[in-house]
Amino acid sequence: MSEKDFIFKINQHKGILYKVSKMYADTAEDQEDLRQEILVQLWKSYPNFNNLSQFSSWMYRVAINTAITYFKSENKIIFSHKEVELVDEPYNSDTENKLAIFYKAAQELNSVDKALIFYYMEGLSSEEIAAQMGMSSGNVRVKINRIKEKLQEIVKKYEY
Amino acid sequence: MNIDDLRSQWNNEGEHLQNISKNQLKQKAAHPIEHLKKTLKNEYIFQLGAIAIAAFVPLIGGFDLLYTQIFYIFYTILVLISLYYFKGFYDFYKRLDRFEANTQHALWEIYCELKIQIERYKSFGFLLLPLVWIAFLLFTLNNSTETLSSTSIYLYIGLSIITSIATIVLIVFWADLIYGKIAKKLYQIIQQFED
Repeated sequence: MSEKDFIFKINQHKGILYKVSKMYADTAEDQEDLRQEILVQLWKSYPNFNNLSQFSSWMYRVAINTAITYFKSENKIIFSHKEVELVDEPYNSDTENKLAIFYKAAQELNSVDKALIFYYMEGLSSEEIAAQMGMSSGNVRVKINRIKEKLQEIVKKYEY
Repeated sequence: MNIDDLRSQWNNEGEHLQNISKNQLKQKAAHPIEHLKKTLKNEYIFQLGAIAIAAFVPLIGGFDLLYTQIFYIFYTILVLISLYYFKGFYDFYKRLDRFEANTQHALWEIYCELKIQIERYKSFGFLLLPLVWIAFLLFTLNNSTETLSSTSIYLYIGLSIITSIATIVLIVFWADLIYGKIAKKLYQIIQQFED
């Protein structure tokens, strides 16, 4: 379990860092700070990674738990399709624009709902999400359906 | 907007991110839990220092042999009580790094441990009060050339009560200010699982 192994594995899954930071932080600066925090926590927790689970599953848990407890002062997030920033996106296709809208709408979800929709987008099954979150799979399914409806309402509310 | 249509783009997210370098692993964390650990560590060091300095009270106060002996009996009790509490604080400090559990479990663990820690912190402060009174009484007796009058005794009791109430209020306020805020935020998140 060397530093070199750790960095190699993290770089294989660096998309997780990026997506979690986009879900839980609104500005580019806060996202960068959160990514750094998650990285430090991953490195500190690495000695406890015992290879009994997949590296990605372990990384998900540490990243989400770090993001959820990374309390910042609560600023009101004003959502407007005009304010969607695509400055860190290399392209500007319609799908990427929709993804930017998705991230912005997700900022209005609570911390647990953000984690659930993140895992859903990652393609985890209800059972896998339930194991990651410590919930029942039934509860996960109900909540995810509600979150999807909520996101639709948020996007419609701001007339995207 | 159908979020399922975004899956393909979602899977490519973060590919443009620069690779992580080993220098980034060495950067200091600014996470609230890390801040809590730092506060705990500073308080731990401060309290250890205060207990070490308290050992010199008889020397500083010029206590007679009898009062010195009485003082050190109570000082020994203080040290033993402190060791018990410091062990608890240390165990809590070490457990604060556990982010690998499933999310609800991790949150509950940190929250419950923090609540216990807050009460433990307060009770440690309250337990020290009688020892402070005794030290003050010994200091007063040591520096009196005659038997204390009843006025002096009442004054001593009155001052002890007033300073004790003030100290208790301060300890409760301080514990809630430093640790209570995080506990409250953690609980708010835990409640989201039930919504």
